[in-house]
Amino acid sequence: MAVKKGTDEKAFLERVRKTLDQSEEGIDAATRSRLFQIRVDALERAGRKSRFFLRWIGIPAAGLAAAAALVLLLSISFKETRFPIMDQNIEDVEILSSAEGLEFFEDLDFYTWLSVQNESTG
Amino acid sequence: MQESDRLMESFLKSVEKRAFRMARIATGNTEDALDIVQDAMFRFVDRYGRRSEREWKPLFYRILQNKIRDWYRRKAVRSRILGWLGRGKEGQEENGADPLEGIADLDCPGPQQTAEAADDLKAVEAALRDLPLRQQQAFLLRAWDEMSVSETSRIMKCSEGSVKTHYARAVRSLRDKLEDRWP
Repeated sequence: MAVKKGTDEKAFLERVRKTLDQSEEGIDAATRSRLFQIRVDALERAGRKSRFFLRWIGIPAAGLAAAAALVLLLSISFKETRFPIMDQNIEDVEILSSAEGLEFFEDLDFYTWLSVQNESTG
Repeated sequence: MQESDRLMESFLKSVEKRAFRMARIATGNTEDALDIVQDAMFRFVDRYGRRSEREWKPLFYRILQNKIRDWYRRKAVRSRILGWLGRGKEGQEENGADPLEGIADLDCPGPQQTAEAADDLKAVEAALRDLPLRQQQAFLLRAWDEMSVSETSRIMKCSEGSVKTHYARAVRSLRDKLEDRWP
């Protein structure tokens, strides 16, 4: 009985999967065209970002370091001025002075998990 | 075109239709689904384009599911505001305030689809849309995209136990709803 139930479920899931697969192929031409345009826009965006990044790499390291130090100094002084009673935690300063956005740190556990997955599979 | 651009194009092409179908099932609306796919793709290339290609799929689906959840939250807020203004009923009729309860018509089926296949799809999509969002996400990621429990839990930001529970409930509910069609 349990075997039959398991087989039934497998067949059911296969049928749902097949139906959903067919639905991808049944997407109308107008929607396909919109999806194509979205992809093109996303790639253009990625290209712009990449060119911007390469330009920044071209800046001499000393200038970049000086700019980073200035930003760090300003962010600390701004933080002290605006929030004098806030705890001056060194981790906060690291996060504020990092090139990554705050969301990167929110997703840190996810990245750690991805790295472990990649190491174990690769 | 550089190799990295080609890889990115190939990846986006490989996920765009499925992403659209997932968003379309969740929202019941083509325009909203396209907006969600656009937001997810833009965010993905902005934030993760430089990361390893092997990480792209879970990262993209995580963003997509976040965007779908955001859509639900905005929809719920809009419904509440319309309710306070005494236009709840009107709003529901106009916007289908609770997308899980509204069963919208499907897009026009492709020419090769038979009437029976179109009916099957309509029934499956309606049954999926009736599921609570978390069950719907767990089912689509596990059953359709064949992601592992671990991957699904990371994408949905919940425990593996929760994924198993959502998935099992989704399967039971779908089997009950589609029993007449597929006994």
